[in-house]
Amino acid sequence: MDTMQTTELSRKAVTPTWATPVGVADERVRDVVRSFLDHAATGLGRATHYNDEGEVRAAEQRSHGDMLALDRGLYAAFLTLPGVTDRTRQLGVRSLLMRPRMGTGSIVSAGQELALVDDLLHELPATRMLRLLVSLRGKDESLGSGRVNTNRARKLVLRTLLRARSLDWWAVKYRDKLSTALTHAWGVRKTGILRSILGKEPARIGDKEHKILREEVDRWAPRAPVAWLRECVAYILGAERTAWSIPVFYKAQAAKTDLAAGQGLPLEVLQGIAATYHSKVGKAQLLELSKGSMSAGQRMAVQRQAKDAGVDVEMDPTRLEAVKLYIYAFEMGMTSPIERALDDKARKAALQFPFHYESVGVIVDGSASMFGSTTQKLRPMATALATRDMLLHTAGHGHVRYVGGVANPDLGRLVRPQGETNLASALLQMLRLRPDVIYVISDGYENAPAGRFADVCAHLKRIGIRAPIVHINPVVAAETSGVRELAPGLVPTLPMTKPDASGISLLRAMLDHEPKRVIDALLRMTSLPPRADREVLR
Amino acid sequence: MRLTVEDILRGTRTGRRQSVGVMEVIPLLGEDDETFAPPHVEVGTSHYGTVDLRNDDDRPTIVPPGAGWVVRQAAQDHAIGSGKLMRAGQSVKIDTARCIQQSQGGYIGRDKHPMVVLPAALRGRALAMRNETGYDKLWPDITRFNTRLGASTGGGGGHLEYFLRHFAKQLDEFVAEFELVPDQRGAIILIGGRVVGVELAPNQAFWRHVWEPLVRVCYGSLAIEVARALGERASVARPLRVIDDRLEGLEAALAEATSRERADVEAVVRRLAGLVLSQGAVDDQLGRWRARIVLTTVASPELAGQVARRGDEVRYASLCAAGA
Repeated sequence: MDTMQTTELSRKAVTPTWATPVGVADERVRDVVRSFLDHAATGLGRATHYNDEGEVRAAEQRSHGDMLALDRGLYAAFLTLPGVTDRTRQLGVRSLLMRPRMGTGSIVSAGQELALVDDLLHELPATRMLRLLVSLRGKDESLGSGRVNTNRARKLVLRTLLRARSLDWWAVKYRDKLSTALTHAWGVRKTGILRSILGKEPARIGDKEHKILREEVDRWAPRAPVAWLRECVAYILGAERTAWSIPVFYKAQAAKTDLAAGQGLPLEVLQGIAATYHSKVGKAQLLELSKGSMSAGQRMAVQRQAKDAGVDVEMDPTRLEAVKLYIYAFEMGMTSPIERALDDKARKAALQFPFHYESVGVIVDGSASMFGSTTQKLRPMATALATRDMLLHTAGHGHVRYVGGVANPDLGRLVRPQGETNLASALLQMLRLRPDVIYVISDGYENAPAGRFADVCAHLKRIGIRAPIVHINPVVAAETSGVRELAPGLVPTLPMTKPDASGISLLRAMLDHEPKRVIDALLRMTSLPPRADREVLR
Repeated sequence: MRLTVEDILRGTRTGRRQSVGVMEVIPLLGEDDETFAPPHVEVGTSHYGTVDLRNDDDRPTIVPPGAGWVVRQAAQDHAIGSGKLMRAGQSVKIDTARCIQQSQGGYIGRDKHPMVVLPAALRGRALAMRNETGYDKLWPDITRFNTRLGASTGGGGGHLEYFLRHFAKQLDEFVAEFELVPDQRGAIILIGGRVVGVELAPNQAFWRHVWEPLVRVCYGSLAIEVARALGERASVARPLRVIDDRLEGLEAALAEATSRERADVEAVVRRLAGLVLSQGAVDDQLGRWRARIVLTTVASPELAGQVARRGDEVRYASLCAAGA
């Protein structure tokens, strides 16, 4: 590992550009922003080892509501920060669409906000983007039950979907979701009319009907070939046609009689067709037919299935996130290519990390609770291990201590969660090694006994042993409206679910001392679209 | 017959004490007896006061005393007083069960519903009435329990779910804070420094299944009562005694605290081991001859509960205090 110079974030010249709203205390600003950043960096809306899904979501909704009430512009801008989870972006876009803009003078103009929502939608993976659009009907408990049916929301749905270059591909993969979202935007009656018109032979479509199609379909994608777009919409809405000219639609149709004709269609589409028309076809044939069209994530997800079926589906570990690779390795075992990919990702993530030292100490909590919940199986541990790898690349040399957990040569770099959480003695052992900084990666629950870590930190401070200690927490805790801290007021806590996007986590740690400067620093990390009137952030 | 806690703990060793707030847990470690399956049984009700259980495993199991089922159905939640030994594949009707949701009607549809274990204060009462029929007999106790903890809502009444709802967050935290350790198949539970429970399962899988309902509701309820009396931030953890203000001094203080905690655990076990439990008549039995398993109720002024034995060997024990 290369030795690098230490960079102190606080030395950066920062010009304040955000003003606290009148009548809001600094402490309130700090608490609201901290809670939001915790959720933004770690929020997945799923149960953890400690909280059920309902609790996590309620805490998440509160945090978004508070941030939006504090400053809508700041809220919108923060959604573009690197490292913000897709779920936070989904909830953020929904919140912005649900509540009308009031007044002027926000740091994000109305035009910027529109463009920002567009950008955020396009950056989401297709499944999450579609789920968000479908949630506007108000029937998705996970994203919120409020119905959003404003003119702005309807236009957003049509603009986003009908301008998509992959609309044909999405149509075969997510037909129901697309149909639901478009029906919500057009309304049931208009959708019925469009379905009826698009079911006709082109030659039999009348002038009045052409006009309807131009106004409702063609105008949203002026650069797309009209025939292609209309056929996509026809397919999505289930218009009655006997023949399709777009290859994926043709294949999906043909596969109903001859499954082999569907080669190259997505696995889930082939599975659906096989379940209805070819009940005797096995998994192996389906995997063989679809393996050419799988995404990197899908290739990883089907490895177990493919192995059992004896089908070779190539997986490129370099195209997957480090946390996902660890979760995969826990299930399927570690391999040399995965280890190389993890090293490479850790090295790259370390370059983004603003603090570099000669030596680092990393304490990894491998206790039973780091297993996570059944829906988030091993994610906290996988995040901890990916973070460990990244931190070790931020220094000339590093030391690692595990608390609980099973780490042995057979497991390689994996640590299986197990046992109690006794962080205090690991901290003292680490101090003996005199690293420049000590990172403690833990979910923040200590029990041997609770509070012992904070007690030791308080004594260290009292007796003048000045060791920079930083707590990194990969798990959101509903009861604290953010992440759980190990030693509040003594050790800064950074929420982190993606080691390659650690910027907001680090700034979150400085909120206690300089909330306004941190907010300005965060604003500089955002990717706001330019203001239409060339106005810069005030 | 005479039984001591030492007889129950025979063949186990203690793990490192875990401590959060007023609750402490000393893990009991030992070898697994795989004869028993975890009590992951199918549950339903066919009459008020009658619980139908089915063990679909190919091994026998033991349903803990005070086991209850709080379901998300329009159905009356129920609990049992005595534990139940069940053969592989056996179905039983227990007509001495109690309703724990007074003004809710409807029968529980058969399913493997998640199990709770009654709060310690109610568990003792339910055990004392284990041979009596009458679905409504626990209502006055539940009402008093809820009132004492400030968990009565609306008109009060025998609704355990009021307590579960009122303290949901704290109860969930108990589950999170105490972690299972390797080889664990039981625990000694202390609240406010006093032993309030001795729990022993035949194997680790069984223990994993019963630990959450035990710590969440049975012992969690006691911890809530004590924390309310002592204040929210009450803790039984002892602070470090640092004499030498150097890193070495801090290490020594930590080592001293660890050894003090170890000594505390040994003292607890020593004190507890001599506790004599009187035994009642046989509550349930399974098998014959040397394979016969017997479930009996045991009690002392401090702890009461049930034990399951094969010959002289205690395979399962669940003893708890009614208060802390």
